Amino acid sequence: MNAWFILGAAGAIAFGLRWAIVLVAARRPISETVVALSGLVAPSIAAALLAGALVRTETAADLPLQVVAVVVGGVVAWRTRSVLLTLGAGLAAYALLGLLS
Amino acid sequence: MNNTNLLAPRATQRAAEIPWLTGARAALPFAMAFMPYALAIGAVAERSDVGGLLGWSTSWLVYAGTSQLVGIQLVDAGASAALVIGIVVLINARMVAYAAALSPAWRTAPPWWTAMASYVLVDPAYLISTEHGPARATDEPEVHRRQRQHYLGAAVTLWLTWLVNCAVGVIVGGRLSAYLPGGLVGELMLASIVAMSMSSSASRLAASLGFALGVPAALLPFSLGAPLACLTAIAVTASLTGRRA
Repeated sequence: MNAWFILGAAGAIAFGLRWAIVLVAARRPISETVVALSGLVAPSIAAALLAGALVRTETAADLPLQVVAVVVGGVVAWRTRSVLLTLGAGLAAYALLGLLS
Repeated sequence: MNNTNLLAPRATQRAAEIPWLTGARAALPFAMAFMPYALAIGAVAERSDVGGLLGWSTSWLVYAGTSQLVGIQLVDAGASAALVIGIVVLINARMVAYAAALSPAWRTAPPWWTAMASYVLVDPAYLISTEHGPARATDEPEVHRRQRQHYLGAAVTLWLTWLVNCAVGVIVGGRLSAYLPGGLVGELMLASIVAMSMSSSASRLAASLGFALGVPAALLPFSLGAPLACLTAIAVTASLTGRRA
């Protein structure tokens, strides 16, 4: 199916649900369980996609370098919460390991 | 009930200012901070089958960094329309928590306003609204009106700057991607989303399970692996932490 349609529909439905939630929340309180579970989606889907991306690394020899770069980037992200530092640290680790190997 | 005395001194001072402008001013540091994210989205889109134009268009079609990045990657991986839509909607599920928190001030707003406010509702807009906005503990319509103006000033500023950031991201990030190792920028962005969203023991458990299950699940056909790993991780986390719905 056309990528424009898919991403457009995804955006439209996500917006529609957001608006619906706002309208519903204005009338009645939302269950704490739903609120708590909604906070688990982003970390679990991003982690699963990350695992899949690493498994599908095109060059087998590149995998250890990418894993180390991602671990370094992840630690920096966790400590600093800065996207710029995360990218910088991960790419620097990858380049350094590439030079050493 | 007169709750004017509940306003904190800082908020009282801010209330004398123009809420739209204070909101917009509070949004500018976030807009700058998200520039690298936009660069990464541009680089990922340029490298993928999605391409630069649609990659940039996700900034107004989807408008949420994580959803854009994941959506682009899923489309590039050949995932079905239902899967892409389902996952983007799932990622947006955290807006339930935001909507619940913001609803007291939005309750008296007209539907067109809530529609616009819902469209521009993203993580930093929520943060600015709750941490930098006028005091919230009140039922006064005038305070709610100021809260809404402050929110919209911040959220619209974030939206406009995100459109510009993503355009720069596609142009600059697209050129940079030629010099970067395949897929690494996207992986680093996913790692940063994981790290930054691990704010509780439950979210740390869900992320760990999502990663562990994501490895074998990557072998499943039709790009079903990540969504299945995600749903399983949430279900297991919910059962272990007693949050079963």
